[in-house]
Amino acid sequence: MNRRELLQLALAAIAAENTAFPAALTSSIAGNGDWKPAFLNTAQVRTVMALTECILPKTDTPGANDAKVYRYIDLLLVGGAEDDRAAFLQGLMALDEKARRTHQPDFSTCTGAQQTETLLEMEKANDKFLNRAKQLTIQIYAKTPEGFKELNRFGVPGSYAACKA
Amino acid sequence: MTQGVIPVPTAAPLTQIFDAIVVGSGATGGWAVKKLTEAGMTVALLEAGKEITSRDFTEHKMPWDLPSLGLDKSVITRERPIQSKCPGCNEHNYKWFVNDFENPYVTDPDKPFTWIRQRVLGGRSMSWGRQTYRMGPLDFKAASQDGYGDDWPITYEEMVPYFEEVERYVGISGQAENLLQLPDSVFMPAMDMTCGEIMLRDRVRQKMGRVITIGRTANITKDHNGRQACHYCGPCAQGCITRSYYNSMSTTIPDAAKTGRLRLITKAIAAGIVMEDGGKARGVRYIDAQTRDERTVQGKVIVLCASTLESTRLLLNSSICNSSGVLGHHLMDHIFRGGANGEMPITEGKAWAGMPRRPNGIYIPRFRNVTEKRTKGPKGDFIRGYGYQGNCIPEFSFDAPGFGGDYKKALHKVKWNATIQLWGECLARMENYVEIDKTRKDAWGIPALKINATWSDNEKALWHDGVQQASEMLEAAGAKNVKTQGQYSVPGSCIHEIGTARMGADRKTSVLNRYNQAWDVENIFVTDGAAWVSSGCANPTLTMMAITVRACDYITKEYAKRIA
Repeated sequence: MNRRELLQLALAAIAAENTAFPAALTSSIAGNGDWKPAFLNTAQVRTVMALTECILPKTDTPGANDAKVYRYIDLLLVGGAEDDRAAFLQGLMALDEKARRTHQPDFSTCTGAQQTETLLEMEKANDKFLNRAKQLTIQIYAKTPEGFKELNRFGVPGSYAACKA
Repeated sequence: MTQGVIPVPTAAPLTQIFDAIVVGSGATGGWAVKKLTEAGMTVALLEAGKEITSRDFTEHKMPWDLPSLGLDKSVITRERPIQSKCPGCNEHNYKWFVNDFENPYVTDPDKPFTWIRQRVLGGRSMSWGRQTYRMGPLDFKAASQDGYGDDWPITYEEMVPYFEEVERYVGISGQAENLLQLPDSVFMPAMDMTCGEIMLRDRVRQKMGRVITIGRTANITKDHNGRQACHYCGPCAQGCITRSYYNSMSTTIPDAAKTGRLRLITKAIAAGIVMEDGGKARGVRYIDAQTRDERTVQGKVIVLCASTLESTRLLLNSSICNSSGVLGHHLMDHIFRGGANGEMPITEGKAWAGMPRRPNGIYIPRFRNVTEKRTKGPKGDFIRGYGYQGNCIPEFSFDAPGFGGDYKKALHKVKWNATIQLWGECLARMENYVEIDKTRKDAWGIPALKINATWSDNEKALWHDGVQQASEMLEAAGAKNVKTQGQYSVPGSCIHEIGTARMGADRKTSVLNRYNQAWDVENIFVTDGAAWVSSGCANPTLTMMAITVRACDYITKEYAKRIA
């Protein structure tokens, strides 16, 4: 066995280990390496990315996709309660359905204006899925380094804020 | 050098007869081993869990250091569906809490009880809430005031030197208020209130004459005994490398170890008290959690600090100390999870994510039945009272409407949301009790407890009054959108479970005498929460520690001499 073969064997072993331990997927969430959803399919990931980025877009600070909010949503759905998962998938389907009314294949292919309009309409109707998605998005974003950048843009107190009357 | 935790050496061999055995290494067990070893006794300390060190602490980890940012509760609920209900149990520290399947207990479906347990060196002092209040003269003599139940066999005045000893050592930050119903401690400098809290305090005092004070907390605000002042990182329940909050594993236990007279036995699950002819205890039988071997450690005095229900379970499983018939009875826990919130009318300030975080809030001392006997509330008359914990800190407007860039901007509009939640006294009642369940055993073959507890009409009546008063105080302070909130807490979930091996002046109606000594077995002492006669409404740990110090003083100065 030459060096090259040995290396290939070693790489194959690592790959096998990754399939054998789905937990290894979670470790890649925060990194920039390969990531595969554990619960959502590719189309659903696209919709989630579009939705969360529409809620918290990239501006002069990072947005939801920079913070990889969609990856954490996928992870939380894996561990979540059955009815919560079902409701979330149902909500994603309904969102894409609404997009088709604007003659787009799904929510992610809508224009920014169309997306915002759809969400505003849903907000007006106090849409449960939208509330849940918004809550999840901000909850996750606020716990990421990217979210900290936005939230702390006006600085943090050097010591605990005594009231300066 | 960072202040690590002094490793605990294991001195004496197990074959010897120790002067004392202490079961449990939490807040009270820590004090017991410190006092007994420093007085010259050799002591074996049994801890059911494993030893943890400062390497296990995670308070400076960021949320993104966790696989799910700490949001995936299923990691915890898989093996700890009950423990996961504790707000202090998170993805960083959940392994310090017991596995619920290995450590079962039984309740009737209509009488839920939440039993939160930590099995590690330091016990629940590792992740406690640190709010620290003295029980006052009204509490020790509550029965004399309103005729319900029994007075304690000890008085507040007798307890004062022990409170002071504990406070000087532990380090309690707080503000003196000179109140009969909530006596002051020996304080370190108080933590600061926020602008919202100051507004709330001043207006409630002005309009209603009630006191709002900064929380009294076992976080030191000055360097103390080689421990560093709190640096406001926030998540104390995950450990503290600077030893700024109080736990036994980095204070009392290392002190005991320094004497060279402590033998620490971890992963030792106490199963029963071994008796000898003549009615005295000879030692403690325990199961080695790893090998499952049964072993016995021998001692002249046994001090139970295993936590309220574990100490009582040990006595019940040993079929001792129950000539009165009250062992297991008079279980109490503070009723809580009710209060109000509202937005204080302040527009200045800003919110921020992460440090600095004050590990403390505000406290509203009891104002009900301080001078009168009963109060008429919205849902009926009640005796005793309640205090509140809360805060008003600048928060982001996460619930702002809209999406996109506008929403991102709107997040930063500061909100001064004031929340106050009541903690109410629970009456000691015979019908709230624990017993040994005949069918269930834990993973080590030790019979499990069946817990029978419900709230009485008194707890419910004072809960409703507390909720209404919370809302009235916020309204009086000018808060907007004031909403009452909550529902009766599940008994046990306050993690202030107390009673079940009560002290008393009469051996016919109590398990322990005024020195926490079992009436039936003179060399057994129970100094944890099991010994309590009534609950008061303040957080109990300080009083538990002071009672332990007092009992150990008796053991070393009086009892040990008699048996020497």
